[in-house]
Amino acid sequence: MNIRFEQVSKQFSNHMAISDLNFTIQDGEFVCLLGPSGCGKTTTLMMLAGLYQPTKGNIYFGDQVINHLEPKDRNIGMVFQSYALYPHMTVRDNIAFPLKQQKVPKKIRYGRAEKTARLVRLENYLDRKPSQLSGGQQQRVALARALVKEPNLLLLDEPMSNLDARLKIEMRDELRQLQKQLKITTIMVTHDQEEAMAMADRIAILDRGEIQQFDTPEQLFAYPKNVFVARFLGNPPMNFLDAEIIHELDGMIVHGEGYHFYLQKQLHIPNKTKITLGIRPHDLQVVSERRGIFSAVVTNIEHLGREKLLSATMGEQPIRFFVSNDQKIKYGDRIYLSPNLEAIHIFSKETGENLLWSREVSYEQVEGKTGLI
Amino acid sequence: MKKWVLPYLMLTPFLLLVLLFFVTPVVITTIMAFTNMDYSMEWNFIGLQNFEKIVSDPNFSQIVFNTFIYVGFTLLINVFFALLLALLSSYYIPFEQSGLFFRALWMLPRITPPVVYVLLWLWIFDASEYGLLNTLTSFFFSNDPIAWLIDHPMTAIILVNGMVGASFGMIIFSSAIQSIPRDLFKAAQVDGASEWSVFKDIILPSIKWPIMFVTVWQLLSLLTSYEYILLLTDGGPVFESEVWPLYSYHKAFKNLEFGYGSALSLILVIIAILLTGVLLKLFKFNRMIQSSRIE
Ligand SMILES: Nc1ncnc2c1ncn2[C@@H]1O[C@H](COP(=O)(O)OP(=O)(O)OP(=O)(O)O)[C@@H](O)[C@H]1O
Ligand SMILES: [Mg+2]
Repeated sequence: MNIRFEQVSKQFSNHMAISDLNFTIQDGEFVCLLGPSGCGKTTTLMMLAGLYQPTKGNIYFGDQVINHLEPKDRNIGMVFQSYALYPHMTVRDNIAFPLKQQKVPKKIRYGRAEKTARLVRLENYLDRKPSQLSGGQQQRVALARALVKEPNLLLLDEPMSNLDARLKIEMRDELRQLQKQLKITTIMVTHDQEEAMAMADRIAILDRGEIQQFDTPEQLFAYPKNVFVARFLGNPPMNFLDAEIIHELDGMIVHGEGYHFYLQKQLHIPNKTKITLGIRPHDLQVVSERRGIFSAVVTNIEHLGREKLLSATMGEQPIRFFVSNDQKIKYGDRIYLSPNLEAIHIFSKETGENLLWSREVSYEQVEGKTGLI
Repeated sequence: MKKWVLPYLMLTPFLLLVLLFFVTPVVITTIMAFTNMDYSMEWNFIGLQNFEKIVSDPNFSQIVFNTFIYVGFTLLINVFFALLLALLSSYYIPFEQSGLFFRALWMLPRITPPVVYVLLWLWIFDASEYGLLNTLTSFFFSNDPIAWLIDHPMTAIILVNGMVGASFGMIIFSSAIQSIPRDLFKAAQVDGASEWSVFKDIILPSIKWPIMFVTVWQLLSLLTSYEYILLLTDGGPVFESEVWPLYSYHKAFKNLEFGYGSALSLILVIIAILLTGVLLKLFKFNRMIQSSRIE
């Protein structure tokens, strides 16, 4: 059963939380909703759960419009952002609650609750009340309660935001395996891009109630559709530099403050268009003065173990890049950088749209494998 | 040392007031209960004679019975009807505004002076054919006018007091229901919980404490207050709707048997304290305080 949003909008009194959402989620797919606070992630989940009705548009499960289907008839499991554990029940009863509602006999439902509790490492807390658990433990109870009824659709609203790093990675794998095993279509909201990258088949990047890009993690990273996506994904974030484009015979010159370089690519934009140049920190290399395109002064050095992250300034503009541990660069040194020309991004200064890759991205859409509709 | 001075200093005037208006009457009543003080206002101590008189009072059994019925049924209305109203206005009506309006409507009797409110009821129960209830019954069943307050005095006072008291419980319960995180109801919906299960498993456990508070509070006020009965039936006809506190009032201020009236009140106070204790036990006070925490 795939899930389709068709022109879905949700309005709260005078605030448009979601506008014209269009996307399709395949059966058994793991999708992450990623975006800044207040962009409508929870609202989207609530509509899928049937707790909110869309103001406009239709949501399909398969071929069926389910806008008005009751939550209980959707066979969904949901983890709420606030966990929403029943405060007066023990962990065991919390997890078994959905089964109790399905009139599963007591023995069986407690058996299944305990099995699910083991999955989220809560077997020793079964008799506690939620108020006697830590935030991370409460979150796992919520996860177990969502999983216990083996739903067709799993909706997770930041299900791991309160777990420590190690547990998070364990739970990630666990959840991912379980999801693949049971083939549960899963939609997970997260703030953590690494988590999204690690778990999702596809990621939908939302901003201000609209999908910016919906694609596989690799595609999103390599071909961000606009500045927002580029800025949002990647840690440390992409470097952005102001520049303008000057057309040449069989290519163009990217001209910015204190640098310029030639690019063997053609863009259908007017001469001297102002652009934003985007380069990921990993795509910059320290080179000799002769070969360098950017010249910068080092302002900060962070040791990350395997490599070092350097911050530098080019005049006013900050720029970040990686160097290997054996490179001896000190604070205040002047260094020269050269970008990997295959991996640079050129965004319209005006609209933020990716001028180089937007074409390529839309080709893939035509093939129908990935991307926006 | 010094930082304790200011709070005491600020509390002292109020403590004095409390002492003057709450503690002194209790002490005086207690002492008076052992005298046969009457209109001559003399303090003649007569030991336990007043209490012996109560037990042998010919009206004793009827008054105890009336009090029992009155307090019991009014309390039921005060708590259960209030709970129903609160559920309707704060859980089932999803619109804040209409719920508020609904509750405000039910609050009216509480902000109306008892005399005015009782006048309204007197009109409803009026024995002539112009009484509201009689108009209605004659319209629908073409009955003869009924003297409601004379034929059914207990029912009338229970109904009137129940309606006034229900608004109190309703306000307390609705605010308790509204403080339950909405996400709990959403989670229950997703989990497929029936309305009954939502009530039993989520709402009820969260409002146990308010329910206890309202029950105890109303019990105490029903045991000791009588102004609506006084205004409606004055305990009549004869002793048919006479309840204990009203009886003690009648004895003290109508017959001017202050000593006897005090003895009646004193017993009432002791009963009230005992009942409160029992109720607190019944509701498992300690355990509840622990578990009513909502994260
Ligand atoms: N019940 C509501 N009434 C009015 N406005 C709402 C309501 N719920 C959400 N909103 C608004 O809709 C927008 C989207 O809210 P939503 O909860 O979906 O954000 P979110 O993406 O989940 O954010 P976060 O990451 O902080 O949880 C916000 O601007 C919010 O203020
Ligand atoms: Mg949210």
